[in-house]
Amino acid sequence: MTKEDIILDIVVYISLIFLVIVTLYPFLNTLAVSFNDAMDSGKGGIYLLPRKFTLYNYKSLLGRTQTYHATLVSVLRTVLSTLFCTFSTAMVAYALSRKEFVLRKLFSFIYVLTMYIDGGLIPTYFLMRSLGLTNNFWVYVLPGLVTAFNLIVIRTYIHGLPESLVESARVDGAGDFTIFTRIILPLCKPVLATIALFVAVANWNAWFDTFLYNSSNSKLSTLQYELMKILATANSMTGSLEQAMAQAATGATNTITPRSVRATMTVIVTVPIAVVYPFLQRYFVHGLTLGGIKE
Amino acid sequence: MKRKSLFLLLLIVFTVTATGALVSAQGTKVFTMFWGEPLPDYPGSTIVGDIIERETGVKLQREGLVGDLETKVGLMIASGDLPDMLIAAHFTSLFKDAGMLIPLNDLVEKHAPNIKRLYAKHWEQLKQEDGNVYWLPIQAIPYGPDESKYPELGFFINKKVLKEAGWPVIKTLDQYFDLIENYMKKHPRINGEKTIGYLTLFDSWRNFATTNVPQHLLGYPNEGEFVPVLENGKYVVRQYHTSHAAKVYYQKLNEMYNKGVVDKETFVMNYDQYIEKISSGRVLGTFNQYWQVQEAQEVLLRDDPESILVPFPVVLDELIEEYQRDIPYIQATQGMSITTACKDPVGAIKFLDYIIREETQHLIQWGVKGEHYEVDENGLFYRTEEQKKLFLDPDWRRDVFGGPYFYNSFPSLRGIDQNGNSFMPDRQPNLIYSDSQPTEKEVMDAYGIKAFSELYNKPVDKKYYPLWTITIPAGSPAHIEQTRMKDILNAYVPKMVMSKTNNFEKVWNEYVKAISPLMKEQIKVYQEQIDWRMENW
Amino acid sequence: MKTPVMLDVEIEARKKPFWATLMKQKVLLLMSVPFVIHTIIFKYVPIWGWTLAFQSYWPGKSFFEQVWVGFDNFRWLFRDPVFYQVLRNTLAMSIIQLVFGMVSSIILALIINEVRWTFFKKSAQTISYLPHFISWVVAANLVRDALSTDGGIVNEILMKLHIIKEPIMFLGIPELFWWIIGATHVWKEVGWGAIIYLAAIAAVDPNLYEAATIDGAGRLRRIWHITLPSIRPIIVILLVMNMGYLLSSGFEQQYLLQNGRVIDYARVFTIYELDYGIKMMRYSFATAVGIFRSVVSLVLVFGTNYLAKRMGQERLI
Repeated sequence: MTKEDIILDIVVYISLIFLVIVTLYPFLNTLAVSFNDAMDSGKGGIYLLPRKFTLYNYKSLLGRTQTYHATLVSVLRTVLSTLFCTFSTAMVAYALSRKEFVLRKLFSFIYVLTMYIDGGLIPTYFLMRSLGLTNNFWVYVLPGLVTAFNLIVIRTYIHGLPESLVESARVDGAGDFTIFTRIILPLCKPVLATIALFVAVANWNAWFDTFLYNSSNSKLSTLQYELMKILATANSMTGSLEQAMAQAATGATNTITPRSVRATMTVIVTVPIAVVYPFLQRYFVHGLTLGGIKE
Repeated sequence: MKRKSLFLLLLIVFTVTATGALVSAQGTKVFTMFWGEPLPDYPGSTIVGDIIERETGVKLQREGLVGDLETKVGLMIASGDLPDMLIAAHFTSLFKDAGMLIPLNDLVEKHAPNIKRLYAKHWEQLKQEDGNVYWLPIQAIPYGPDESKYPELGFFINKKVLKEAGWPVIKTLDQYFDLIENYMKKHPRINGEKTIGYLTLFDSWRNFATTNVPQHLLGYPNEGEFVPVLENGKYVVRQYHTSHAAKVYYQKLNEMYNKGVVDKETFVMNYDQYIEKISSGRVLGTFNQYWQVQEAQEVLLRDDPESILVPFPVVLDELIEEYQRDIPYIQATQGMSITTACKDPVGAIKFLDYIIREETQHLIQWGVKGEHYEVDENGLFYRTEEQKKLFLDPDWRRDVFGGPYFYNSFPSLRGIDQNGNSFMPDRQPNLIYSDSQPTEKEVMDAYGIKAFSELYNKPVDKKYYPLWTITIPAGSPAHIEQTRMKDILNAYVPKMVMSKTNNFEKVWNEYVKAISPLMKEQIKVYQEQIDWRMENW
Repeated sequence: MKTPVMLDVEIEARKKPFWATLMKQKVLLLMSVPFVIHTIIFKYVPIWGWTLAFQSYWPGKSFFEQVWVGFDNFRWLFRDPVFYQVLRNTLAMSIIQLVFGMVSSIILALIINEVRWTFFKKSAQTISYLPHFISWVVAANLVRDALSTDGGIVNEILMKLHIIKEPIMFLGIPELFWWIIGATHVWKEVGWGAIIYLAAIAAVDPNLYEAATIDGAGRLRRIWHITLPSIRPIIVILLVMNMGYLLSSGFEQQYLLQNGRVIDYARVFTIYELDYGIKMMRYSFATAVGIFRSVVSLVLVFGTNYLAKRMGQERLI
């Protein structure tokens, strides 16, 4: 251990401990609020522990028959999207990373452009409807199959891999698809884990597509949409005067408040991600030894 | 292994998607409905809901609003994908403009005797320019109005202040702030924390709690951004944002801000923080509409009953007579409508006719006689202690009883029925006082009243009331002007109140200069509509 | 042995006529063309919606019944004094967020990579990205509480340390607003942003570190000479891509932290578009604003892409 090592270690640990404190606090606070009596939370002053413990917030959010079916739909769309999206994005990324591919530039251009142009809500709705994707489960999976951002990230990663691996495989007579599945995919694990995480989280958190395309079919409702619904009925901050007045008229004593619903929602949505996360994390925190996979 | 699980997944997907198509097929009629406001999901079976379903044979497929209404309405109109019935708040008329609603006149005449009878008083107000009626407002007042415990709005003051001062009656702005200032001097801290003299809410769209005040100081009820003033027998739409009252009011806030009476961060806090501060019991005064402080008041009633808020009708000076209470009105510009997509309009109107009749309304609001309420020898409804307890549990009320699912979002009745019962149990006249909590009773007794709203004058009737139900056409010059005006209010009011006292005059003049040109178009639209209402209602 | 093969492929690609080469790349075509078609359907077909910007669109009417207004919507936009304020605010906050967001995430990834105690490494990384999942509605309340003059922790600490005498109303100072937005953005997204760099670091060949250590390089020098250069392509690519989002960023965060006092510094494009577009059903105007943003984005993206190309860095196309 040199002096530099020790100083570096001190800096590293102190700054990380500081970061852990400021990033853990909001979550602990949210957790405390979610287990606290809603009306009592309205008084403020809750930090790390609930003051008036209750499970009522969870009961009122999860205790609805709708929630279970919606959770199933959410899990399904997340799993399917993650699988399809990660695989197909990687495949296109591989094709576009081949320097000899004559349509590489054209296709890259087509994809890059999509990041910055948008036809707008109404034309997109018309498209989905004419494709039969309204009131249809597949609207959750199909439109986002390959996204430009993820594509570019994976392509950049592939560019960083040693070209010699591909060449030697080619000499051995392997075709592009074989090279992709046998060599590139295994080497891409860290970036694929990252993209899978991005896709999964985006799908798990999505509710706007349900709102646009599937809102009239309760069988296709997603968990986030159901939670948004409960939040909206508990009177949302971005709501309108009419909404709030109507609720005040019906509500009388409301035992769930927007604050407690939001906290509980956050926990419900985050916990599954936190559970799945370590399985992906090992790919990019531990790191891969390229040498190990080379042969 | 992997293939198998993928196959299994696909199988589940198909079952999930396939079951979506199989919604109740036998015998019952199904109507799809959309509401332009958030609604909880109907649990499938409730006491009230099952009775309604049995008696009408109608099953509802409900959709409430989740995202923003503008997007939803735009998509629905553009695509023509409509439910059978809909109500989309102030955008309902856009569906009519797009020719997507069917006129109700003939349907009501032929198939809906109850609607005809109960909306008779409002019928003229509902007619559009073409003489047709396209929607039923969600509230009708067929007999007489009723009373509520709390008035719609007021300058609220902490009970502790009133008690210490010997229960004074507060009339003017100066009296109100004097009381607060004196109490604050004597008690700089409450429950170990700093006393907050006055709080004014300014969080995004809720900022009307601050900017609406000048009209009330002049004695008017909540008209909105402009006030129709009776001049030579005609209602002329006037602005109040640069009135003398506005100047006195902002100057007073400015003075109090610099004295430390108005909370330092009052213009920076959001609604949650506002409720938080009031709930702590250390806020002495705030102006608002009651429904905006209700949440805090309920916490105070439970945890700190001596600090509850008491409303007063405060005006600018002794010369002004206040009429701040709402005149009972219906929202004539929006309501439940039947769309061109509805295959059975007769069935739909019959269903609505069933919902609106008195028996169904009593079922929805009061419940089943003998089970959820009793009737005394005078024919007045009441609830026993046990029944009351049931209804105090909001979960039971909503998901087991189920009444709330058919109230407020459907056409419904308000006020007093022909026997003197209120349609809403909370407003049953003989029960308001007796059902109040001890701490509320103490205040009522001190002022010799049976409800806080008795501290206010009875409203005087105005045919057009209120101005704010007039919808400014979306995207029109008046609409753009309105947004700009609100932007100016949003930017200048905090500046005025928070400036140094000797700087106030300067900021006020800047504000007047900025806001004055931004009212012409709106006044024009409002004036036209007020004239129309005075002529046709 | 290997180098000539690569050259062969490239020379072949250049010499042969286009179609012949294309036929040889059947597999690559099969791997990409279906998805390119997919993208054209889902992303390019709706672009007909841009015609709305030249109409006075009203949702109830058919395409042929709409009123055409030429460039009126753009004229309105460029003549609106609020537009320039919005442009300034959006650019300022986006640049602050882009710079500080990227720098902090890169530094965090490097720091995490330096931790040798695996348990701490993993848990610190997991915890640091948690705020990403807390919606701004919740996070904004925490920020408001922390910055409050009425017992907020930041003021309390500053007062205990005798740095200030009176609580400061942080959220009420217009000049501070951009920086509060920047700082809270970093707090919320630093851990999430670091993931992508960690993935890149994971690909660095450990042999390089070994070789450097043998050469006597300290840890700092290894970070500087090995880790950073190897994640440079992804840094450059993300920078180029994010340049295109400079006008699209923000909404909830600004919307929920703003107040009347700082409104002149808080309003960003997305809020403006909502207030003066969608909320008024002015779809045409909203589309015009969207087109303006797209054009600026493309100029920025291809501009930076060109620069990256000139400097011999990784690039988009």
